[in-house]
Amino acid sequence: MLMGRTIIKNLLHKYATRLHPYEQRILPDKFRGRFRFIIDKCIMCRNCAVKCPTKCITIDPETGLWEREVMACVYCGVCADVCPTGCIIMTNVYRPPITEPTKLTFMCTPRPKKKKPTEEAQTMNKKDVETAIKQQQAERTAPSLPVSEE
Amino acid sequence: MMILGKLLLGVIGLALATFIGGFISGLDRKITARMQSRFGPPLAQPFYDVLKLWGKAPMAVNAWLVLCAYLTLMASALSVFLFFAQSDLLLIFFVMTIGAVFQVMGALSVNSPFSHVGAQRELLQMFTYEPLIILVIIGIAMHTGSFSIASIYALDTPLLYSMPFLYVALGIAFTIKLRKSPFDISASHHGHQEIVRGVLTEYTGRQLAMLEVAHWLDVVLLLGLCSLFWSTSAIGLFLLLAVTYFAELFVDNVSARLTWGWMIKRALGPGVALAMVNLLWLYAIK
Amino acid sequence: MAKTLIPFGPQHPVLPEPLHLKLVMEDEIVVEAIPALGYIHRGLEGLATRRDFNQMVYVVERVCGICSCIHAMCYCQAIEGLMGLKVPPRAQYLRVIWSELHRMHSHLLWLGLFADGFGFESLFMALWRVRERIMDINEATAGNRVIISTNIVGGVRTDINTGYLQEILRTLKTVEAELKPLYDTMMNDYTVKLRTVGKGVLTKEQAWQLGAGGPTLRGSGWAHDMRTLGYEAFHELDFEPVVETDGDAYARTKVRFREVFQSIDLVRQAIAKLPDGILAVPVKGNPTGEITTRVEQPRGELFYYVYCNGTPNPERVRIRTPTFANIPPLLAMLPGVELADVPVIVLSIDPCISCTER
Repeated sequence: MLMGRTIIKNLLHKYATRLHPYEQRILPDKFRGRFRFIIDKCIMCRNCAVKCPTKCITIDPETGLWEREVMACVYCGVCADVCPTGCIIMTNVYRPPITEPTKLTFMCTPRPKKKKPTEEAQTMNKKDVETAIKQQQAERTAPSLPVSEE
Repeated sequence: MMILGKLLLGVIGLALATFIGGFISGLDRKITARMQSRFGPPLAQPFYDVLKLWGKAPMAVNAWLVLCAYLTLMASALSVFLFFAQSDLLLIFFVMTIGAVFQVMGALSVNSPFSHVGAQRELLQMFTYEPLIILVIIGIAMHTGSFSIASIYALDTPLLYSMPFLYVALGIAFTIKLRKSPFDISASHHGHQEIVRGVLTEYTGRQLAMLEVAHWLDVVLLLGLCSLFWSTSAIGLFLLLAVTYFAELFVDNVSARLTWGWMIKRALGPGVALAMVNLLWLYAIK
Repeated sequence: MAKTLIPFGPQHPVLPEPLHLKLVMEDEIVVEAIPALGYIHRGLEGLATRRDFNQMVYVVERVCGICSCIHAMCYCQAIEGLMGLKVPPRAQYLRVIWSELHRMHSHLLWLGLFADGFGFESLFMALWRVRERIMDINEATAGNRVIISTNIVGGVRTDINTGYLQEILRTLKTVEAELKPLYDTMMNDYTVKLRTVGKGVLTKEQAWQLGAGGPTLRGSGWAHDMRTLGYEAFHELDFEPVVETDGDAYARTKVRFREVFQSIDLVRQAIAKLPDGILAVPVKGNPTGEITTRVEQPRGELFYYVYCNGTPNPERVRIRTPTFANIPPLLAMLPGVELADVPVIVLSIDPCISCTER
């Protein structure tokens, strides 16, 4: 009977739950939700692919292929942390459900030829990255960057 | 003419009882959800559930199970029909019991241990609530001098005034029959129990839908029995039923599920004692 | 008398964990319980040999779906120990805050499931409602509700800003106020006491001999709490292990409920003492050697053995989870109890089979 007071309180007070699809919750800014990839900012450095714990990102700098296996991703947000140009963003929007293994494929600009094109991105030093960003930005002067979402 | 009128009344009552039973079940879920600060399902959810179950592919374990489900539903329907046709209380009680027994028979006809344990517990529950209901009926008969429902409607003071303790005993029986805490021993509303859904574990699809409808009818019948305690005015009757059902929900939400041992010790004993006190009182004022 | 076999699990509504117990029954009394495990072996320990030690943090975090942060913390401690890294003080305190928040939401989850185990639905809902507040804190501070992924080797990934620390304190105040009546219900309600008092008794000697851990051990009278080792910032915080002496399901419940309040207190202390500074130290090179670390998980002692050979991939990561230690005591508790009490007793050790099988 000790629960009685709580129950009467519940009866008289507002609902603690909400009717979800009709009433949306405001998600905190830090929430790791929907994955956003801004193609034009990518410099094909392969940082995200190397640091990803599930290895769900595949990058081929030669062809400019950027691929992500949606079902393998665990949304830890490491790729967004390590991305030097900020082309990977975790938005605070709920992720839509998917029903079958899906691959998100983007075709980016292939990386400009370096001295050693086969070299791993791990060994790419900071200066290279910065120059690469500048190059990319110089190449692309479109006012609004096309944004792709899953 | 008199018989035809009664039959008609019974048929209308049965049709109404099915709908009212479903809506009571829906309202039950709604209020329970409200007590837990949730929204709960729509009011017509029990009907959706039954319709969905009805549409499932038939997967009965054996023929007995199907037969028992039909018989349970028929017995429950017949008892409600007899109630609205203003028949004999004892007859109604026996028909209701047949329904419960067939439900147990069906559960025992399969090999599942969950179902078996549930069936045994259901029998123990019947062992607890049936004496209480019988004593209530005896009390009514002592007061009115007849087992007929019509004789109760002939009274000019509500039965509750002379039989308050018997009403409490009926309340205990009602809680057991509703499968609510602390007496959701043989099968609980949600299957979170050591024996899964106990006596209902092996019923699926149409059979389960039939048992669900039978359960609604049983609830209506027991509410009907409760309503006899305030037969003089419609408002009083409605209030009594509302308060009773709310009390059931309240008790359900403030208590844990207990064991059958406790039920026999603490529900049957005091229930019978209360009923006996009331019967003695009725005997004394006669 | 004829014996019947009642299967309990691996898919059972009362126990959302894939533990299969074959209950040998005589009448309604359990004679013997035969466990069967191995339904969700995921091979995470094997995966460790094929992943970078930095990537492994996120993998070990997924060993357990409830106390994820604590697994990652234990693993990070092991790697930091091997590499001789000194975690900055602010990171230590933040780890304490997150691990205590995890302990709270884990215990509240368990208390809710326990209430559901004995059929007290409204208490279950009420406890989970409180838990929601804690998970909201996790979401706002770390970005996810349970798998928060804040630990990295050498420190933590994200910071909690000062404004939100005050918000946490306010939420904890609400949580404490909301939990008081629920504590009263859980500990003093007549029907609840009927279901928990004297059920599944584990004596003090038995608990030690069978190697119980965590609240199961503390419920039997042993003041055995890994946090007293003083890892991270625990050596600077003031707390006493919660101990109850009865050794039954009621005592274990009480230990856990009191630990929720203790965790609230610990988070408050940590926030009050939170120093300024950097969040993580840089990690260079690869770890070499072998090490063991122990931390206190909500369910008991968590043990990691890590062996590295100088390559980025650890050679061996061995995880011993508290539920593994608590299964033998469970099997000792079960014989002689009624079938109706089985869910209460099984739940009273707070089984986390997904942890155990990795």
